[in-house]
Amino acid sequence: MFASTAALWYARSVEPDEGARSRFEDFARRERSVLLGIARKLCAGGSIDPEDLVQEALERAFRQRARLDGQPDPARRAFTRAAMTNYFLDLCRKRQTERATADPGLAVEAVPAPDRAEPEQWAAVSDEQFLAAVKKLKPDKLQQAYRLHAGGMRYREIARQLGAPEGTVGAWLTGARDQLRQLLSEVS
Amino acid sequence: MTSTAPPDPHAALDRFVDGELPPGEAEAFRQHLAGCDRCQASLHARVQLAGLAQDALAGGAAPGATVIRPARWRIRAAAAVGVALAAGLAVVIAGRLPGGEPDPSLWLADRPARPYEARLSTPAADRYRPYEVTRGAETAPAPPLPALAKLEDRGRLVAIADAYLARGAPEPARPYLDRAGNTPEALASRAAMDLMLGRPEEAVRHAGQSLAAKPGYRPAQWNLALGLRALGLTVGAARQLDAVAAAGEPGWSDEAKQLVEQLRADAQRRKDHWAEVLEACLGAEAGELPFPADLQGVPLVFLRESFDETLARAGTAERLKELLPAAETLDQRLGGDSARRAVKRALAEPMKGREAIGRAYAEKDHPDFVALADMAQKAGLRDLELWALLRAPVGQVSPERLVALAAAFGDPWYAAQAEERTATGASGLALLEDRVKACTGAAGSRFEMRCLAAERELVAHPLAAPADALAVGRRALERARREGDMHMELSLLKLMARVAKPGDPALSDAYDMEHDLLMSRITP
Repeated sequence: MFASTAALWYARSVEPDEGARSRFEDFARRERSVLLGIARKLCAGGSIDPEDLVQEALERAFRQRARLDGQPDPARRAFTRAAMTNYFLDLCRKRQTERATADPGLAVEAVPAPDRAEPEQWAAVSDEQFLAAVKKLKPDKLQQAYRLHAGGMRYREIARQLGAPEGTVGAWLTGARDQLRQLLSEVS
Repeated sequence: MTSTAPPDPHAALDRFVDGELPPGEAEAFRQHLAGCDRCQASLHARVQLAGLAQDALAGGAAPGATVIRPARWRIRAAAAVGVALAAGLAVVIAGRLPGGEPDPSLWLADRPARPYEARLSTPAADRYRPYEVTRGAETAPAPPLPALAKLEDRGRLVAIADAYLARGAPEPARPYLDRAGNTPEALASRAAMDLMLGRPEEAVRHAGQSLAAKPGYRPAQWNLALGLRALGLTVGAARQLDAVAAAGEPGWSDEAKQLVEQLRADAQRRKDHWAEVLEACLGAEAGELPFPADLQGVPLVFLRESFDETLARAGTAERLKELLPAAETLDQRLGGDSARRAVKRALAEPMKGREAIGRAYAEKDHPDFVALADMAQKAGLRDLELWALLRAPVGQVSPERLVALAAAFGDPWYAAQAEERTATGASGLALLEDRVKACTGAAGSRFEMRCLAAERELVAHPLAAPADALAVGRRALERARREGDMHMELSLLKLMARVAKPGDPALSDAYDMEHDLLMSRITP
């Protein structure tokens, strides 16, 4: 009875269709906070607005939603993260050119803007594969430092927690990422 | 120009991505990055890894992970540096020390009334006094600095913040709460600060976090209820206040009961009104009652849509003719002659097949509108074809067919609907934002409906920032309630629950609860 009324179609018409748009919406909501966390660090203390970075990345993904829809999550997020990095690098280059124009004394080489996204390399990495790679990180302290860092700790806090100098923590984290890159390239 | 970047600029990449470089070095690294191919390539990999780490590891959900949350870590670290020091640190971190409360007058707790509605977490400040808007804060002197200094020495940052909040001064309280960390007490007082600053969504988030860490914590429950009430989420607010009332705290319990009564009476009024609207419209649509064209307190556009529904189900010329007076009343209220033209158009079309389509439609809970449109097209019933196409899911209708059919009617009512339906998928965020901006200050039912549609679409837009979407949604919710448009209210509640979910589960639950309760009252 209720379903056959104007009231229901009216209510239904205000809900977005559960189609590609809705799926993109869910994806974008989840992805936004991850992107923002990264963007805030890339933009810290500078003039680039992290919100702008995230918005542009999501808009680029939105424009490609027909292509991305139906692809697994890892592929979609790899694309979006690569898009954000590209846009960030574009802005860095643009600002550098502006600085050079304003101050000819600054020797800045005009570098073309190659897109080094290679999202394909990351598009196949699932959370499970990533976790399996993290478990293989050696030595143990390095793995511990990486997990603590992923949990949101700063270098200084990790250093105190693990009883190591901050510089060592930095070296562990760099080492962990190099190892992960290697392990995950084997996966993909 | 001297650079503050480290000697090997490539080496700073990881610390840059981790946000560990001081501002000057970070800027120097960004300049280096602009011209360094090697670092640009590495940055891509680092960003992808950072994202994966956040997906898979952040929050310590990974099996076997040894991620320790910062608060727990601090306590462990404190233990490691010795008992005496640990005790001192724990006080600084937790912001509370049992016993030895200073004079309650520091929080104005000796006064007969409190000038703020929220609750504060410092026990001495949380003594019950009735809430009175006009008494207290304006005449209160600033908190005495020596007393504050003493509290600061003891690390009681939340108590200091509460001394300011008790005077209705949220801004001076903020730096202390910023330093006090995320203890349940600090979060509950932070929610009180948010309420004073007119930020109910923040209040809900902070109070929700406080309760997650300390279930049943009364000041947090109270402030959560006030935040929810300010957002119009009466069901969630009443539930929190019920819990406070049941705890039997002197004074607070009675005040909670009174608030719950007000909230429930208000919700009941809205529900009763909507039930009346539905009964009248449903009866008319089923052909059992005359069409309620002069019904008040309901959006005119809703009435007009219900009229179209009634028209579509009127299978005989007699029933169609009976609708003419209602069409005239509707036209007078809306302006124009759209409703009368719709009736006359239906009367001019072949009557054969009309009843069959109306029956096929009424028999199903989830009719296939595209099939109905095709049936109507075959029977030469163009008004029913358009009516069905306007109700079919957006993706299933050819925009060209819909727009051409609506245009052929030469009726702005249908043309506007067709335009909105076909623009839904493609409208960009910027366009939508312009439409929403144009609504500021718009008044009158027809405008209100257009505004509501645009606002709702913005809330649902995948690219809208959650905070913006929620702010627009709140405005739309108020508009929908003012208009008595409960279906729009339901839709907004559902959408807002979805938008709020990732960042604010407590708020999301409250939207869901409100939706479910209202829904349960209007469906059989």
